[in-house]
Amino acid sequence: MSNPQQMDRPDLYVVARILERLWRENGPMVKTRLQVAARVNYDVFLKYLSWMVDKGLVSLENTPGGHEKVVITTKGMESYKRLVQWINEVIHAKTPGR
Amino acid sequence: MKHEKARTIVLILASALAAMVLLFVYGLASYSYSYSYYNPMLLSLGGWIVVFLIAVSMSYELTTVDTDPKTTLTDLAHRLRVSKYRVKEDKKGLKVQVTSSTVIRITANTVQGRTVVGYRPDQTASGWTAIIILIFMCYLAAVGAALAVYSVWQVQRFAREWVLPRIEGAKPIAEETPGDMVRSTLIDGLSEGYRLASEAYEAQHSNYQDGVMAVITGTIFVWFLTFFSLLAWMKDQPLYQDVQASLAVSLVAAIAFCVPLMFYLGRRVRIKASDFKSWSARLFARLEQETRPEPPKDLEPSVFELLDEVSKQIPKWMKVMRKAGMFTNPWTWFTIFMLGYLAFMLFLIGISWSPQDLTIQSILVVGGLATTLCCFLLYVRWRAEQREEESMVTKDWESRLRIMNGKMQRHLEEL
Repeated sequence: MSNPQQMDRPDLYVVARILERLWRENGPMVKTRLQVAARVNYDVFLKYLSWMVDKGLVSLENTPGGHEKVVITTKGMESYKRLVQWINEVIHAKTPGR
Repeated sequence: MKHEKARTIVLILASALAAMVLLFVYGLASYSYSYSYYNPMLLSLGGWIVVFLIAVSMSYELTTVDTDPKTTLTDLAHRLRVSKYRVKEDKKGLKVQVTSSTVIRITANTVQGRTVVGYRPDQTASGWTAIIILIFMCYLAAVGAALAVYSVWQVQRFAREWVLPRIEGAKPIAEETPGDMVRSTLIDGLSEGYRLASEAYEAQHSNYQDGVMAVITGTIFVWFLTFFSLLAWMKDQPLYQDVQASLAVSLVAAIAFCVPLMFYLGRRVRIKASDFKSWSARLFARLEQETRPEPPKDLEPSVFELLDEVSKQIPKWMKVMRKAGMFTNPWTWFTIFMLGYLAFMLFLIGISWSPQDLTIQSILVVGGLATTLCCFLLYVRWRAEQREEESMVTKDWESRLRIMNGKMQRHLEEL
């Protein structure tokens, strides 16, 4: 990241939105399109992106056109899967496990 | 083939039903109206009830598989949800809604080291209500029995055409890629949310019908009480004027009782019902998008957020479902209704009984009072149980949501 910014407490919903969009893309995605899906302004989006890269949830790829693209990592996929499983357990009237 | 047995049973039941109809027609044509055991009409009535009991109580074997019962049912539930069926998982197995009135109950048990999948027909609350009313309406029992046999036919066809292919030769969910597993989990969540929202809507609708029935009963009671009280009060007037005036006043009293209550009921219930219906439609639309071979990528809001919102709505939906007596506890409500009806009849006969025979009149009125008390106590007990259950479920749900939020926040912090 060219401008890594610090973030204390990320909003769970924004993180989940970014992970879900990247999971649906099933490949690298241009930052501006991802920002639209995250529904936050560009500065805030960059903070989230930086935080997610630091945590290993997503990674950045350079394309031949000079654009940076974002891709979900295995850890990111695993994290999103876990969030979705917990919420699914609650909907099925089970106490979230693990 | 195992499922061929179900088809044979449907054929036997339908033939028995047709034979009973012929017997009934024969009885009708031969003017056999005596109360003898050999009366063809009474025999046919008994036959219809036997056919009905067999139709609703039999269960059938579908197939035998090598996966364990839990995995078999979990995988099957998921595949049926992908096909947008409303699936409920409970301790007994799966309950899948086939039509608006018919349900199939699917079970899986281990027999000699293998899993035997079986099924039996069942009804939704509205299906049971319709069939039981028909069974109790003497010769209309034929229609009730026919509906029960028809539901067996629907269920066995559903089991053969929809359930069987989703058990035999389907890829186990445990073998899915992490990406596919995420999609499966989202579909399961959306489908369960859709089922609960739809059931909340149906329960609200059933609540409305219960309310309408109570208002109509109350109106009849108000009319009856006003009419006969006035008639007794104005006994010195010429009879024609008595009846006319009592009729007019009792009608006004009945309308004044009924109209505001109906208006209040319609307004209060309709707002809630439309909220549940919109949730059900929203979740179904999302489920349809998610189950397409190529689901759209830019979904807004994200399914995760939608499910999070659903998890907060569910306690409200469950509350409505528990309130709808006919919907969740049809047998208790049927007993309450029958006791209410009996009390009304005892009062009616007691009041109109000759005043000369005071002993019988008193017995009838006291019987009516005792039945009303039983009816009231049964209702109070049901309501108390319902309140207790409601507070327990709400507490459980709040704690579940707290645990989930805590886990999610901790997960982000520990990354």
